Amino acid sequence: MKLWQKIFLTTLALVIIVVNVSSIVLLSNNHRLAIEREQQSALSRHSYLVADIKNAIIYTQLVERRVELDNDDVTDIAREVLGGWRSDSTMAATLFKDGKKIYTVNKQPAKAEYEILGEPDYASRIVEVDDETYLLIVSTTELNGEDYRLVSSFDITTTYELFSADFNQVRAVGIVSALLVAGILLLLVRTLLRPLRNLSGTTRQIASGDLDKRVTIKGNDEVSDVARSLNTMADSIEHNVGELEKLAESRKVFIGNLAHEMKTPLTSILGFADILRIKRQITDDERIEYSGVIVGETKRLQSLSSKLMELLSLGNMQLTLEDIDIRALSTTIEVTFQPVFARSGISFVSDVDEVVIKGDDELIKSLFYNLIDNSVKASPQGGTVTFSSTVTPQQVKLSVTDEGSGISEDQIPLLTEPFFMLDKARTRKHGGAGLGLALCAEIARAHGTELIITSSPGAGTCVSVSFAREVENA
Amino acid sequence: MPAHILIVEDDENISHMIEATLSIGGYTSEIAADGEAALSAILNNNYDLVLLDIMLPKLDGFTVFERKGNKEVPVIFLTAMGDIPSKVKGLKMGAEDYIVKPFEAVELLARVEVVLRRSLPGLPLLNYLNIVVDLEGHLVTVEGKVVDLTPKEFDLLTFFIKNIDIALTRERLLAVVWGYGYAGETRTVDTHVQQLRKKLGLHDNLITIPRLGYRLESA
Repeated sequence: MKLWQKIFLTTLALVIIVVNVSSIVLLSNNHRLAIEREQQSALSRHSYLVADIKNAIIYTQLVERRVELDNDDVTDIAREVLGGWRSDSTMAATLFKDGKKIYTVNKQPAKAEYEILGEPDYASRIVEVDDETYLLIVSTTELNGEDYRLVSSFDITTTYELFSADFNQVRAVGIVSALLVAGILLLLVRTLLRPLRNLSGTTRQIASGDLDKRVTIKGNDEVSDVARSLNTMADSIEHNVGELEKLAESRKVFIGNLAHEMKTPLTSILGFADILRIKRQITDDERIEYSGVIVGETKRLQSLSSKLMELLSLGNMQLTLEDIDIRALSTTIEVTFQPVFARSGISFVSDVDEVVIKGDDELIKSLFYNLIDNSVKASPQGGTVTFSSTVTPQQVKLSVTDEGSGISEDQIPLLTEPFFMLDKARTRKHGGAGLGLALCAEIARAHGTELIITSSPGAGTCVSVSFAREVENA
Repeated sequence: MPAHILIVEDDENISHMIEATLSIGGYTSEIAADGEAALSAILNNNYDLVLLDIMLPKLDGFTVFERKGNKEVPVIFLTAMGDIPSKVKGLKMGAEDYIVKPFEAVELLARVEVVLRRSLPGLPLLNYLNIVVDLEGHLVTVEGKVVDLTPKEFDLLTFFIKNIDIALTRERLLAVVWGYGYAGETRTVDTHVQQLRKKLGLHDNLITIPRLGYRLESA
C-alpha cells in the first residue's frame, strides 16, 4: 500500500470513529437525561394521583362524617378520581386490590401491568409494547386501612422516537461529513505528499542515467531535507561519474595515441622488411638504408615500451625518499651527458647551490635526465643548457634552461600530455615517443610538486621543479 | 610511361618505404609531408594516383580530399586508423580504396594496381618473354599459339606477370587468386604453379623461393 493510502485511510478511520463515538455518547447522555426527566415527571404525577385518591377519601370521610368507609365507597371514590383523568391520553392508571383490578382509566399495556404488579412495594420500569414505549410505576397505598396497589403508565414513545430520529440524523450527518472529510483529506494528503512523488520521480530519472536532473526544493520540511540530501548525492555522483568519464576518455585517447605511435614505426618496419624479403635485386645502399630504418624504428618501439613501463609503474610505486645532493646530481648529469654534449657542441652550465633535497634518487635522476635530454634536443648547435638552483628558506627550485626555439604559451599545457610532440619529425628523428615530459610530470607529481614550464617563441624554454625544504635540525 | 603517384605521409621513414615499394612495381612517385603541401601538389599536377594519409600536420587527409574539389584523381586513403567509421567515411567521400597501416608491400602494390587499372583502362595486353596475355579476351598465346589455361591458372599468370621480380607468398597468391575465404590450402597454389610451368615452359623463370613462395623473374 502506498504511503498516501495509508495516511489517508488511517486518518479517515480515526476521524470517523472519533466523530461517531462522541456524537453517540452525547446523544445517549441526552436520552438518558430525557428518560430521567420523564421518570421524575411520571413519579410526581403518580404521587399526585395517589394523593388525589387519598384526599378524596379523606374529603368523603369528612363530608359524610364517617370514619369507616366500605370497600365499595373506596372503589367509587377511586373511580371518580381516576375517571377525571380520562381526557389525559398521555397516561393510564389501574387500581388493584389483592391482585384484582378495581378500576382502569385509559388503556394500559395489560401484560406489563401484571408483571409489574408482582414487584414488591414501589417499582418502575420501561416496557415496549407494539412499537410504543411506556414507563410503568407501581406503588402500594393504604386506603381506608386497606392496601391497594396503583399501577400508572406513561407513554414515553416520543422520547424514544426523538432519540432514534436524532440518532438517524447524527448517522446521516456522520456519513456526509465522513465523505467530506475523506475528500478534503485526500486532497490534503496528495498535496502534502506531492514533493515526495517529485522526489521519487527525480530519483528514478537519476537512477536511469539522467545525472543532471535535480529535485526542485520548496519549503523547509522533512521532504525538502531529503531532497537536499538527494541533490547533494546526485551532485557528487555526477561529479564522480564525470571524473570517471574523463578518466576513461583520457585512457581512450592515451591508448589511441599509443596505438598510433606503435603503428607508425611498425608500418616502416613491416614495409621495409617486406621489400627486403620480396625484392629480387637489392643494392647494398638499399639494404643498408632499409635495415637501418628497421633497426631505428625497432629501437623507437623499444624506447616507447620502456618509457611506458616507467610511466605505468610510477602510479603504484613506493618512493624511497633520501637526501639527494644537488651538486652531486649535477656532476652525474655532466658526466653522463658528456658524449651527447660533445656531439651536439653544447656547453653545459651548472649553477647549483650546495643544497640537499628529499626525493627518490632513481626517479629524480630520471626526471632531470629527461629534462636535460629535451633541452639538448631543443638546442641549436653550440647552444647552452643550464642547470640552476634557487634556494629560499622554504624551498629549493631546480631549473633546466635551454636556448632553443621555445614554444608559444598556448602549447605549454599540452607539453606534459602523453604523446604530444611539438615537432613530430624532429622528435621521431631523435627516437622520441612524446612521453618524456609526461614522465617528468608524473615523477614531479609523485614527489608532491609539479613542473613549471616557462617559454616563449625564440627565447628558449625553462622547466623548473620546486622541492620543499626540510626544517634543519641544528 | 609509368604511373606517377603522389605519396602524402608525414613520417619520413614510411614515405620512403612507400616510395621504395612503388618503385618495385615500376611506378614513379613524389612525396608531400603535410596536408597543405599535398593539396597544392594535387591541384597543380596531374597524378595518376594519390596515397593519402589521414592524420597529417596542417590539414588532415579528409580535408585535403574535400578541398581538392573537382580535380579528377583517384585516391587511396592510407592510415593507422583501422576503425570501421573512418573507413566508411573515406570510401563514402569517394576514395577508391582504404589501406590500414601497417601493410605488406605486395598488398599495397596490388591495391594500387587495381585502382590504376580501373582509372587507366588501356593496355589490355600483357607481355612476358614470348607470352602474350589478352586480359579482355581471356586468352594466352605463346608465339601466337593459344595455350589452354584454366581460369585460376589465367589469374595466377596475370598476377605473376604484373608482379615481375617480386617474391609472392603462397598466402598472398591464395588471397588474390582464390579470394580471402580460401585460406589454408597452399598446396593448391603449388599445383597450379606447376601447371603454369609445364604449359608455358616457365621452369627457369617461375622459380620457387624456399620458405616463402614463388617469383616470376624478368629475363
